[in-house]
Amino acid sequence: MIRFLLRRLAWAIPTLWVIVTLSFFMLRAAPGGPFTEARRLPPQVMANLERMYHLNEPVWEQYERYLGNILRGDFGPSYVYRSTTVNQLIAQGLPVDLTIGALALALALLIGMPLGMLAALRQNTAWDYVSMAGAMVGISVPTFVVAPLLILLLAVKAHWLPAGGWSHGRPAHLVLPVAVLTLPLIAYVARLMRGSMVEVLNSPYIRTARAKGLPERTVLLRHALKPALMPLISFLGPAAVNTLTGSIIVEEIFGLPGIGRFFVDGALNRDYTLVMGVTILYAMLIIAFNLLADVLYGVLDPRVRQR
Amino acid sequence: MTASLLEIRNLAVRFTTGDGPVYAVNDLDLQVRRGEVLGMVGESGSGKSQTWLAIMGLLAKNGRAEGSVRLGGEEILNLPQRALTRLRGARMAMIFQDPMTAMNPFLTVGRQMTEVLEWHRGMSRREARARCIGALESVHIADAAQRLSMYPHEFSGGMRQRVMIATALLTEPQLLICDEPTTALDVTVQAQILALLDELRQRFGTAIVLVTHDLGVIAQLADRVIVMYAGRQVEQAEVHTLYGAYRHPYTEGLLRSVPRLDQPRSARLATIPGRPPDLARRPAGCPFEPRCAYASELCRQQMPPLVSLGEAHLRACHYDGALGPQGREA
Repeated sequence: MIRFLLRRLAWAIPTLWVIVTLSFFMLRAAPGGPFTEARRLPPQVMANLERMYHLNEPVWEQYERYLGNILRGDFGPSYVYRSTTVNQLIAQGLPVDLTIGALALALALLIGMPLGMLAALRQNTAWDYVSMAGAMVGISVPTFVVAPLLILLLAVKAHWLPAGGWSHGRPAHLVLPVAVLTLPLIAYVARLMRGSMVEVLNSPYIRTARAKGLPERTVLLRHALKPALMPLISFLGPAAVNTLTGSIIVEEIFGLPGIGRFFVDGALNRDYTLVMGVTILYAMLIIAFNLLADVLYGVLDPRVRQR
Repeated sequence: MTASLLEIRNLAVRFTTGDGPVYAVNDLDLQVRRGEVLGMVGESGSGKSQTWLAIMGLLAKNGRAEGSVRLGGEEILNLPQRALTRLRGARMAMIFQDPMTAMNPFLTVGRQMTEVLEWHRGMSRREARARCIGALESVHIADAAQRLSMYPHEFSGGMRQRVMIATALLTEPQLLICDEPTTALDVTVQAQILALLDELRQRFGTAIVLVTHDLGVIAQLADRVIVMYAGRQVEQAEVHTLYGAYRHPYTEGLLRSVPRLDQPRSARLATIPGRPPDLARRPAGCPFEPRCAYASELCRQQMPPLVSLGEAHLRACHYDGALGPQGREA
């Protein structure tokens, strides 16, 4: 298991390098730069700026310098948010997304898993149909419809909750963004759980467990649960990253200071270092969570463990 | 030893499907005696497996069983879930065709064995473990103690089936139902498993029901044979009687379609013409009539009842003449 982990971690290094290199050169290839604005700067000012940020050097040297910096954990200064480093921006924005994302993820598992399991156990009953129809709606209705609706009903009309803002993460401000983020996730988790549970419950080894006279509770918890979790784990690897890094739409609608908006602003303004910083962060999270999913696979399934 | 252990009366199994009901088993009457090996043969869809799944309460959700099944005089058909958990795996056990998929790949072999004793006998894990080591040894698995902490995928097919048998016998059930126990195994392994079943039957006096489409398996192990066709019992006899003096055209067809080594390789393998009937429809006459070389007008109109021919030989057929080549020409 430890050797497997080390090997996977070793693989993460070239993967990250490829991502850094590709995004570095793709960004430079895009037309314009961080300081080409509508109003042209005087040539002398432009030259000074470029010298300060080393943009006057050949691209190759800039690349080397950048690699050296990120190896020391320094993502450099932001070109657009003046006198702020990318590290500071991420440190500011990431906790917002992590808080909301982690809550949404936890709720999705806590609600979605039992919902899906019950639907599987009561297959083809009213409970099954109603919860799966609900899940279908949860998946199909986009965030930008649900969010304004909830704001209208719960904030504007009923005055129960604030319509937006962060307020240093006060619980009342978390409710709506978390709800909007978790609803489709609950739906996905429930559908996935139902599907895999139905399949497992029809498998020959479940028939064997029943033939042994085991009570249904044991059949379910000891024999069916672990195998039924496997598809959920493969889904959760990438889905967790998506949720934890926040949704640009949710940030925008609720006016949250997350990193999603930095990503968009950075890309529009050719803020090279900011875009690179966020990209690398996402890439590392994706690698980490896929690794976590693989480890969980190994923990659950002895056949995976041995390979 | 002739007292009957299991009494089946008028057993019917029906499945509700989108295209209407499917009649998988009809009017089945039979007994299993203590300590005997009862073979049940038939082709796919003859109802042989569904009969025993119904008795174990393991029918698919759309399946319904009717009639009466008594185990040691006590009615056990359609028991509530709670009562089933006390009966299954304790007084009667069942093993299945494919030992590769019949064991849970996520649990150790030991866990899948000890849980039976923990549940039915209230043993501690440690006590159960000791018993399981003994059980594995009795099915000739070496290094039983180490084997218990291994997972099913580390076992060969034959070994898994031995483990299944050992698990089924942990509680010393009166009845062991084996549904195609050797079909998924190599021929040599098949022979070992059959020898093992025979040995265990003699040692523990367990009655064994052997459900199979393989007449060779029946010939090796069974005392009595029931031939099923389209959800009905068409012939029942002692194994020697059946092979020597069968009295049903379908049995004849089955026996003739067994490949033989003493015939020239150029000889065509005998087959039964036609296909098994659609179980969604229930013809008025004999279900085998469309495929039967001896059929008459009576067969088309009337279902032949199961009647005794004496000496524990029963059959359901209107035809009275001789079977075999001479019968066909007559």
